[in-house]
Amino acid sequence: MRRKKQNVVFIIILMVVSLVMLFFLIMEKKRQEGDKVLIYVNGTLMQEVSLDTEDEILIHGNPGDNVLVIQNGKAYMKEASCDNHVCIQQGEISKNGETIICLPNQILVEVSAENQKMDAVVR
Amino acid sequence: MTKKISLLAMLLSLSLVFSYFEAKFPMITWVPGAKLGLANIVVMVALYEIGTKEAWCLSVLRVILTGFLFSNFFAVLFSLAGAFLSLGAMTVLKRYTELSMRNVSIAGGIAHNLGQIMVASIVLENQNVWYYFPVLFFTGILAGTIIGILGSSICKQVRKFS
Repeated sequence: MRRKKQNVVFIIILMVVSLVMLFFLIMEKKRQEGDKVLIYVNGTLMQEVSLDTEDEILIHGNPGDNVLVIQNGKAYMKEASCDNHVCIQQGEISKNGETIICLPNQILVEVSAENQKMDAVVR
Repeated sequence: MTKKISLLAMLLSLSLVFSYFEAKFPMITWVPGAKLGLANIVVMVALYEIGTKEAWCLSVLRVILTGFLFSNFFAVLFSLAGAFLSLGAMTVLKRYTELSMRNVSIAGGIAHNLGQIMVASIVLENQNVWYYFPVLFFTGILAGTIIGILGSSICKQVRKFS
């Protein structure tokens, strides 16, 4: 009996947390468009590029290099030296706070909005 | 003792085969970076049928070996964080609650992804990676459920023989 109760409680907690996570997911969709991308390698800011340009940027990561493309106000990873290519699969980013992460090369690309600094961080 | 060592060695190689298979043929691609973690079936079965210590050894060795065989040092770091948190959560839940194996596995799946994002935020020194957590929360539940169901049915079969 106690066993069943614990399992039911677990599922209820899971559902409540799921709802909270769903809320965060929906909030994420509504975020404002950013106007520049920040490129970090190993936690240090390497480059700041406006999203209004059309450009291909070679990022010297650690240890490999990646190629970031900026097009139509969006940024995406075109090439990566690693073999899992998770960063390429992450697709296009354009909203404030959105990131593309390349863990093998320790590269992080983040969209930022000039006038409005990041207001909420999901912790 | 010898019997146990050879059993664990067999399980370790089995989990390596699973990891290799997943590294070569990533199955779930609609969420970037998400994996089923087939090797965790082996770890789960070890946790329930052999023992806590043995499951921890198996998990740590598997992560280190797969890391150096199929990827690099940083991948090992990320996988270790996931493995520690996941197995830690599962060990605690198994010992102190009466949750079913599937639910323990779900908690393990979520804890695994939590661990990975924690390391990502530390290594990349950026808190914005937490925006990705809600997605990983759901993939953790999904992977945990599948692994839990598979693991518990394997355990049932194993118990018939032992």
